Amino acid sequence: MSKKTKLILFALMLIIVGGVITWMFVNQGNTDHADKKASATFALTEIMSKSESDTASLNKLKDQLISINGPIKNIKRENNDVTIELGDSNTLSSMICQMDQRHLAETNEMEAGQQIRIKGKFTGYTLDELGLGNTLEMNFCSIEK
Amino acid sequence: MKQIVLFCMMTLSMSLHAQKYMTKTGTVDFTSKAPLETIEGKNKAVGCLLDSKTGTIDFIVQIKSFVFDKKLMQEHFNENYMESDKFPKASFKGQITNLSAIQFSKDGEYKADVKGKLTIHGVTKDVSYSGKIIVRSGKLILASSFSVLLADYNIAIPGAVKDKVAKEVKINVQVSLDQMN
Repeated sequence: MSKKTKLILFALMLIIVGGVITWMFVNQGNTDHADKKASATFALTEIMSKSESDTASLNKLKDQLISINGPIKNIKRENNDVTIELGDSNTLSSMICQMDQRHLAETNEMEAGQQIRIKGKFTGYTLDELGLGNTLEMNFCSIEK
Repeated sequence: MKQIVLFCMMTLSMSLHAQKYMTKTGTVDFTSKAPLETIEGKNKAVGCLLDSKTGTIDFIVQIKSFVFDKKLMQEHFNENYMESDKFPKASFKGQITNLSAIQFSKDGEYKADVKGKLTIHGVTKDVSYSGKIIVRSGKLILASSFSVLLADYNIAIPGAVKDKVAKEVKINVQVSLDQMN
């Protein structure tokens, strides 16, 4: 095999490997946070009180993986998606948790009133802008045992 | 006499409250269909408040709560297009313009025309959309589909990805509202 042929084969191999790596990078799914350690842990009442008096610390939590312990106010199962609302039935303020598609089965037996610990990526909050109470949000959630 | 006035005020207060319907778990999804790629994002944490007496209807959407299948899409959506750290929310504040055609106390499906102000990426536009309201056992289901031109909201598409991101995206809204207690 001539040196030129070897160079061409090597270049082709580089292009193929590069192409596969690029394809894998572009098409990789979202991170599954279930086995990752939360950067902060709160009781629901604790993090909800931050929305009333300490939004600066809530801002620091944005994009962080956090773990929340609280009661289910409502659980919505719709079109192969599950959204859990954590909160107290006496107040409008609550936390909305969009479950990660890979962890929907963990919610099969769950119902309103049940106390759970849930982990997810904190996406932000709204402060009673529509008269719906303060609302905190997480996505890519999984249930902690 | 005082008791009668108090009773009337309480009754009025209760009836006024019963005219409001809400959810915090509504759905907004969008599809961008471009020659080289279809991008779909979904947000199931949408807040909505509807007042059936006045016809006002408001939505609030946290941009970072949109979920995509691919990690890179999620990042590009937030960092390059929506700049969600700078503009964390989208909202719609509007009014049902054919309120008299909707019987909120009678089960059925009604066409609803809405006009108001849509704010995306820090830009507010006057808009009008049509949709439907389904009244079922005291609950409301609202559904609407419409298209949005990204350029109208100062969302720039870099030349390098012009075949991957559509100039106009289709938005679907579906919310199930409960009466406020």
